[in-house]
Amino acid sequence: MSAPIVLGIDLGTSNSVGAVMQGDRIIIVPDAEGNRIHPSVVSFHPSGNVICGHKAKARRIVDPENTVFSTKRLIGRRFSSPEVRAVRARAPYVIKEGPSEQPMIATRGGEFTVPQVGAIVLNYLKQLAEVHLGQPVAHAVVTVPANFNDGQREATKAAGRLAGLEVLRILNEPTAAALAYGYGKSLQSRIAIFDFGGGTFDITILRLQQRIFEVLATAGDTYLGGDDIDLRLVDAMIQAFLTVHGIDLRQAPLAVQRLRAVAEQVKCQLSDRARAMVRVQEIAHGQGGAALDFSFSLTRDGMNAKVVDIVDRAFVVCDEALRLAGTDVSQIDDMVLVGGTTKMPLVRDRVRQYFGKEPRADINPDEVVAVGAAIQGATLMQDVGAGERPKALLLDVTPRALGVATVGGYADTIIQRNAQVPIEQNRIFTTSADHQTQVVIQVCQGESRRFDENTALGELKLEGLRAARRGEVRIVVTFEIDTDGILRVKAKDEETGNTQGATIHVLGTMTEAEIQAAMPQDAGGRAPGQE
Amino acid sequence: MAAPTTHQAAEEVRALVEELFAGLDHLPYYAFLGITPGATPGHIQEAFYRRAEKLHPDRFFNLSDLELRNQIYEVYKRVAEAYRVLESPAARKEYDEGLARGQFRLIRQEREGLNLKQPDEGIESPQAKRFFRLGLDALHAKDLKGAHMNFTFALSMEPGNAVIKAQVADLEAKLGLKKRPG
Ligand SMILES: Nc1ncnc2c1ncn2[C@@H]1O[C@H](COP(=O)(O)OP(=O)(O)OP(=O)(O)O)[C@@H](O)[C@H]1O
Ligand SMILES: [Mg+2]
Repeated sequence: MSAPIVLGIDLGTSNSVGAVMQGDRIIIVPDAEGNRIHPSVVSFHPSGNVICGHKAKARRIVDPENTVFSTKRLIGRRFSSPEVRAVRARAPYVIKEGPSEQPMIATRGGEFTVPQVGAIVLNYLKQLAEVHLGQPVAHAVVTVPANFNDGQREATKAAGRLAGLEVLRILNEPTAAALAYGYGKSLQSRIAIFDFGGGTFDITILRLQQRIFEVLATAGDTYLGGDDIDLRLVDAMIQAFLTVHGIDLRQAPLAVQRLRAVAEQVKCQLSDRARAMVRVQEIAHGQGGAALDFSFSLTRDGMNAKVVDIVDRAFVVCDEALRLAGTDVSQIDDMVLVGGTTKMPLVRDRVRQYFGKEPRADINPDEVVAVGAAIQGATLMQDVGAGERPKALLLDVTPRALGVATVGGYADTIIQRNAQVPIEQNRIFTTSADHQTQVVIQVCQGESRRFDENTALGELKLEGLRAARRGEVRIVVTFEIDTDGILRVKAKDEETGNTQGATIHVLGTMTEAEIQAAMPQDAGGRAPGQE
Repeated sequence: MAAPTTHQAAEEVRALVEELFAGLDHLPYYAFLGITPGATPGHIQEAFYRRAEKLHPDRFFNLSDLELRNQIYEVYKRVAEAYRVLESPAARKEYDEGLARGQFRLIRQEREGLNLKQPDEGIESPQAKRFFRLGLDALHAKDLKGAHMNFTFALSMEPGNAVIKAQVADLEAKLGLKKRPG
């Protein structure tokens, strides 16, 4: 009997990829047209059908209000967060405030939480895999950017469950890439995973010792990606149009939406050639209502000059990661490039200059993360007799420090950034008033000394304490980050040894009850992807 | 149908887990890594990798014996803690000093006053508390100037209060305000 199939899923901001490992063979899951990467876009069609992938991406231009994309930027975030505000300012679809401070996406198909939209994409990949393999798929390993916080991981896991998948592991994208790179090779080296995607940039430094993959440090910028390059080019186009026609296209959201798609096209073309030219028909109407077309031409050098400052922000993050890893560029044996943006020649040039050597060229930057997820899935499922050695062992870290609120609005760090997981740390809490029977502890992730400058995760409540003088009741609280990077909390009364009820309410994510309520009753009813 | 060697190894892991699990309350880090207190840094890393290959919870993902699985998890966390502490020369020194006094685990003492929950803890006057809270609200809204003003008011209600003073000083540094001499 062979182990059940595990679908490795790279759930990206712009694109998602699914992979499975069968024996020693990796299969990338294609759609009906044979595409191997699938836009993370969901479109709610007037017919009532839900469409995903390439077909949905095509609807961004014709039905922008009902075509939802880049929701990874929203996942696990509170409605009032700057991230959600930034997406709302640009997104052509409606984002409202829902329960537990979650953002809700309102479409003609109804209102959805962000994990629900993620679930539609995950379910689409699950179905593609089932069709391709001819058998049901119930397990998955889903990847997330290394610097996703607890709430974002929880929300991603919830999305998997809503999609009808048992998520065996939430895996960091760069760690997955490292696994795909080094699996079965018995290497002894130090590598850097340089992941420049659509929405985020991450750099991770690992030490490989045969079967062991030990993450030394990881750092990232959640506001840096290919999207920023597109937006820069859109600005240039709008400026060019304004100069020629005296019309500001910013007043026309649909035109801006079209220009974004064009900008991305131009950018990708310039990865293969030195000059790109586009013509956009009827972008605006001039005097007397005459339709105006827009022609735009750009050289690779011209583009590079416009965006080099964006690309160079990645290397500030690299400096930080190397410092945290206690190493420097001269000690890095190999660089693995991940993510669509690393296809830009400018990015490759800068990487070569920074590290002083050639990055690996034999790795597919679009698929490597999903491949790593599939390998990890197969490794976890593999029935390792205790006598055998595991084929690969990942020793990963938590990207953010974990802290609690303390006097004066400061945060007190409990678990250091880049500490290996699983990890636990204890802290003693005392009552601060006489006869206090309840303690509320605010928990955050981030490195700032100030609580407010970190990401608030939620509140931890200890209830039913013995009524006593202040300071007399001492509760030992154990903060634990598990192998998924998810926080778990236990509390114990030091004196009685009683386990204390400790609940943490994570803001900006679905509660267990909400997940249950949202679980599809008619699993497999409506198939996304069909028109 | 397990080969005898596999079976033997499985028994070995079980025995090791049982021994270490029973020792969670009294064994030193060195025992969790299976090394002597004189081990060199190179030894420590090597020992950790060996232990990780044997005891990492991922290896037992499918183990049906939940109790053993839980023991493995608890033991592994301590093994990793041992590595984390002993790997850093400074932490190792601190640990060894504690160990000589019978402390088998490095637990940093709580810093005084940090466990109090309310942000305005330690402020007596209700007016000072009120302005302090307004200051925190302003900070939350990223209104640094407003925050500075409210904290300054709070400080004038309760001069010399260390909690409020720290806030004022912090904001003065942030806003680039320097107290004029005199
Ligand atoms: N040939 C190319 N040249 C330049 N950029 C490209 C090319 N192909 C794809 N991209 C860009 O790569 C980005 C998408 O990369 P990728 O699919 O790795 O991101 P993602 O995984 O969805 O996002 P993230 O990892 O940030 O969540 C987009 O900005 C896209 O425009
Ligand atoms: Mg990606």
